[in-house]
Parts: sequence; structure tokens; C-alpha cells
Amino acid sequence: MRRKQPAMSPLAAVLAAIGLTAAAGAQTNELKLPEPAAAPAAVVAAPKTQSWTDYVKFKGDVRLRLETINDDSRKNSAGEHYTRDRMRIRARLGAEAQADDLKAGLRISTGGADPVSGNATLGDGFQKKEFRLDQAYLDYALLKNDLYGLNLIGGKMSNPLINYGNDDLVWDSDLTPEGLAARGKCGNDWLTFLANAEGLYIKDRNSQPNAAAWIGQGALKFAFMPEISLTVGGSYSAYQNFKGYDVIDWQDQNNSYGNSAIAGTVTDGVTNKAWACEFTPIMGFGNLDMFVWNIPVKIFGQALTNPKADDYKNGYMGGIALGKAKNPKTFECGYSYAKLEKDATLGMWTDSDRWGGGTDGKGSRFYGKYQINKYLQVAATFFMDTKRISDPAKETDYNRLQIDLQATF
Amino acid sequence: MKKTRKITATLTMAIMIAGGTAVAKDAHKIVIDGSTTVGPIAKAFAEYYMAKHPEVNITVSESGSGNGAKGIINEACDIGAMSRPMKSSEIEAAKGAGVLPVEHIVAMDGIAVVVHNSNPVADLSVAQIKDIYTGKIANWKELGGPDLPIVAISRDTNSGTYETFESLVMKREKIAGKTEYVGSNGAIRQRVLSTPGAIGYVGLAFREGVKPVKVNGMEATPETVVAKTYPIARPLYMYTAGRPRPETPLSEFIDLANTPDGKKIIEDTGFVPLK
Repeated sequence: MRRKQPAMSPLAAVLAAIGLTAAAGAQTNELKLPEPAAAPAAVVAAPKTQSWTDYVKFKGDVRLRLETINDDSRKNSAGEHYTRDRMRIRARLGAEAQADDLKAGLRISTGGADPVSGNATLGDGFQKKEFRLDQAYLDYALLKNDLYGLNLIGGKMSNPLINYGNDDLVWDSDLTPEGLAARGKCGNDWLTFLANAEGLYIKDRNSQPNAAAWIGQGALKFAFMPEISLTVGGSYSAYQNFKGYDVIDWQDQNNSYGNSAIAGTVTDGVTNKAWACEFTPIMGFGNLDMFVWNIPVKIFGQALTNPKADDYKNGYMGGIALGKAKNPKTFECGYSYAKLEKDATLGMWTDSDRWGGGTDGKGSRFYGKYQINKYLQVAATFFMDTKRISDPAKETDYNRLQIDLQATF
Repeated sequence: MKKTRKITATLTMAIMIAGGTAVAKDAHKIVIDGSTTVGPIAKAFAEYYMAKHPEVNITVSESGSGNGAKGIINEACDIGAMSRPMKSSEIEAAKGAGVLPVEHIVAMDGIAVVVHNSNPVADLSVAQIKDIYTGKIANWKELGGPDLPIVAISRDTNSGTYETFESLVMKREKIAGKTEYVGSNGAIRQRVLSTPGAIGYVGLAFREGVKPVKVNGMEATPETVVAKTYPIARPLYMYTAGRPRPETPLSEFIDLANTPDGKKIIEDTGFVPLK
């Protein structure tokens, strides 16, 4: 095979062409050039002019959802089973500015004040929909390397804990907690230690102690070989000042979201519900990621208990996911089963779709997704659940089907 | 109610089954993107393979190792050519997108430190090179050369050659702001060729017309690169999204590096074949 020669400089090529040097392709070591030689304009990168577009990124998504809910715990006006068909939208728009190691972000979202949903239901006489502040945070990278890092985050942020996205037992994926957090990792190619901590401001009470939480989470990730990795870890959450205090309900409907309640304060002749116990849930989790015939397979599980509750204090979830709908024309599907007793954790932040949200439920989730192109995804999710599992006499079925079309930019 | 359950469960299960079906790619088309250093090998391999298999179409783009990694993560290319290994963050991003990045070492390379032919300086230590690029040494007379300001030329930060140089020479210390950044090995060679005070670093295949200096007393040769006695030596990689199926054009193309013809091609392009 003929040896390939790197391209000659334009000047060298001209000299070669007129016979002042050896033919093209020969060594040009003897070439003497006038000095100082100016850099060829095309070679040297021009100094970059900084513009605000260089350090601000915009991102967002719009989701259309068709939904059918069959809830046997409710009856329609004819006293029959309750069925609700509705169309909802969720729109989010965010901007993130980065200057050296500091990031500042903002995001607004539809969904009103609901902490665990950005959905706005269509069908209210074409009323304008509300946008609210969903995220506002500062994120400082104190240490940054390919193998280790430490970020300090403050404000209203995306959940800094390791979570399972749409399949988490404790956290709804739309929740944006408020407070201070630290995210750390260190390790090498086969073992990584992950540690997260956060202090959350939950309820600012004027004349009573504030509701707050301190949460610590640690995990080890073993990468045995490129095809297999295992993450195991645990977390401890210490919620403060909940027992005996009025429940926090964004709808002001005195809803404890499945948690046991006692009588609280009286407002305008109405007795408010108050939490019956404190919450210090301890959770263990594991996550096995594999590639089987180049298809990603994830097997995951979570289990938790709240030692501060006398009864109904446990929860668990297990599931499997095949494929990954991320790149164009890729699929993903999965199944999970979850059971969450009344007081295993705070009900107000759990998945708002499983058994309608809160605790005191169990059931299955099936889903499939297809990534149509870089920006567009279609998905179907079916929940087959049972509500009010703490009282077998009151158990009812709860089924929910969601068809989503989501554009992300 | 039960009927609704059955219908919805069946619908969801159908989607799940569809999910297990992988979308077949065109086996007769191979798209390669990435390192400008690995580019000559990729192009020579493509020329050789297409001559033997006219039914296979191979395209090669050279946009830097970083873009090679991105191409694998986004499945925009079949082979990501890289002159550095994938970072753990890139591997995580790939796995997060459902892609298993598989590393194939195709050749070895040394990063030659080159100066203008008229420059009498012939040997530099790694520490001296580092001092040049941090701006501590600014004139060739400090190194026994002429009274001439040093013009430091570097690859752009998307380059695998840059990352290797940053890791093995700069030891993660920042390159000085006065350094000029260019987009390819060929561009460095051209800049050094035309500038008496210049110093640059290039892959072994890009030394023609410029003067390579010894590093820590070692010359960059195939022997010193293989023996790892040359201090700035590295493997060259081709990454695939998943393990290529045996007896496919992609598998055969990657395996070329281990065949006698492939090793000859690597040698002819100025790199060091695997033993």
C-alpha cells in the first residue's frame, strides 16, 4: 500500500509545483521560509468572542396526555363506578447559565401549586393555564473530575438523591425539593462511592417549630464488566415536627395523602387532620444494570420502613425494564410492583399516578415507550392498583391508563 | 371493568413485546466519526475494505475524539474513532441512552513534540514541555536555543490528542492563555512548518516536514512506543455501540487491525500496529 502523506502547506505546495523543492510528497526538511512567518488564517482559531448564548442553555418539554381512570372507591352521580376520561398537558421551560464552576437555573412549569404534578387538565372553557416557578437553584461544583466530584446545591432544585425516575417508591419525579444539598462521588473504573445529603425546608410555621428534614444517602456502584453493574445503597431521612401538626395539603382539602391522621387544630369550626406519627424512613435499594444481546436490562428494588410508626410502616417495590427509549427509533418497556403501607413515608410526595397518589396502596405498573425521533416520544402506561389496603373491608380497585406524546427540546 | 382491564393490559403488553424488538440497522453501511489522529487509519481501512466488498459503503468524518464519543452515545455513527479512552462520564451517558460502548484498540501511537526545522533544540524533558505550555518558559534561549519567542500550538479541547497531552504532560495543569489552538494534527504541522519559533504536538503520522524533538532523551519511534519507553505514548481506539455481531461488515472492519493486511496499513499510515 502506498504510504499516505500529510497535506503540504499551501506555500510548500506552490514551491514544489514550480520546482524549487522536491516533488510533492518528499520530505520538506530543507525548506527555508522567510521569517517571521504569519500564521495561515485558516489554521489558527480566531479568538472567541464571549456571548451570553455561550453560557446560557434553554431546555423544555411539552407533553400531551390522554388518560382514563377507573376508581372503585368513588361513584358517579348514578351511583355506578367512577370513570374519568381527560386530556392533560404539561409544559416546562428552563434556562441554565454556567460560569466556570457555578450554574444557576430557573424553570417554570404548568400544574399550579401541586408539588408532584405539572399537569394542567384541558376542558375548562379554554381558560388560560397557569405557569409557576418549578426550579430556582445555584449549583456549585466544588470538586470536578471524571472520577470524583462534589456539588453544593441550594434553592428549589431537581431531586438530588439517587432515584428511579417514574418508578420510585418515595419520590414523584415531578417533585422539586427546597433547601440545601450536596452530591458527591469518588471511585475508579470498577467501584464508585456515591453520597448525597440534603437539608429540606418543608413548612415555615410562624408560631410553631418549622417542619424540616435531614436526609443522607450512600451507595456503592460496582462495574464488574462493561455489560454489568450493580448499585446498592441506603438512605435515612429524619423528618422533624410532623406528629400532631396539621397536614400540609396544597389543595387545602385536609388531605393526609394516605398517612394516618389524628385531630389537629380547629379552623372556622372545622377540625383539621394532623399527622399521627413522625417519619424517619430507612430505605435500602439495589439496581442491577445489564446489557443482554446489546439490549439494556435493568432490575431494581427498593424497601423501606418507618420505625417511628407503630403499624403500617413498610413498603417495597421491584421491577424490570428492557431497552431504553432515548435515541431515535428505540424502545423501552417495563413492569414494576409496589406496595406502600399507610405510614411508611410521607404520602404527599409519592408518585401521583400509582393508586392516585399518596400511601396505603399496592399494585402493578406496565409501560412501553418509543422514541420516534430525537425530540418526540410516545408512551403508554397502565396502572393496575388497589387502594386503602390498610383495611381489607375498604380495599378498592384503581386502574389508570395514560397515553403520552412528549416533545423535548 | 374487567373487560377494560383486559383490553388495557393486552395493549400495554403488546407495546412491551414490541419493545423487545430491536430496530435492524443497515449492515452494508458503516459510518465513522471522531479523531483526526485515527482518521488516516480509518480512511485507509475503509478504502481497503470497500475495494474487497463493493456492496459496503463506508463514510469517514474527522471531527475530533469528543464527537466520536458523542456519535456513539447518540448512535449517530457505527464507529467512534478516538485517540483517548472514553471518560467515565461518557460511558455513563452512553449507558443512560441504552448504548453499551465497546472499546477496540486498533493501534499504538506516540505524540511527537515538533519544532521548526531551523530550531537547534533537539531534546526536551516532559517538565520543560509543560513549562512551555504553562507559559513559564517563553523564549527558546532559556532552553539553549535562539533568542526567539516560543509560539506554543495546541490541539483544540475536543481532541483526544489534546486530552492525552493534558494528562501525560500537563498533569491536569492549565495550558497558558497565549497558546494557539488549531483543529487538526495537519494544522499543527502546517503552523510549526511555517513558524520558526513554534512548538506543537502531533500523532506519529504527522511529523513530515517538521522536526520531532526527543522527550526525556527518547525518540518517538514504533519501537519506543511499543516498549512504552517513549513517555507520551497511547493506544488508538475505535468504539462501537455494543459488540458487533460476528461475520458482519462492522465486525470484519474492526478486526482488520488484527490481520496482516490491517497491520501493514497501520504501518503505512505511520502508526504502530498491535503485536
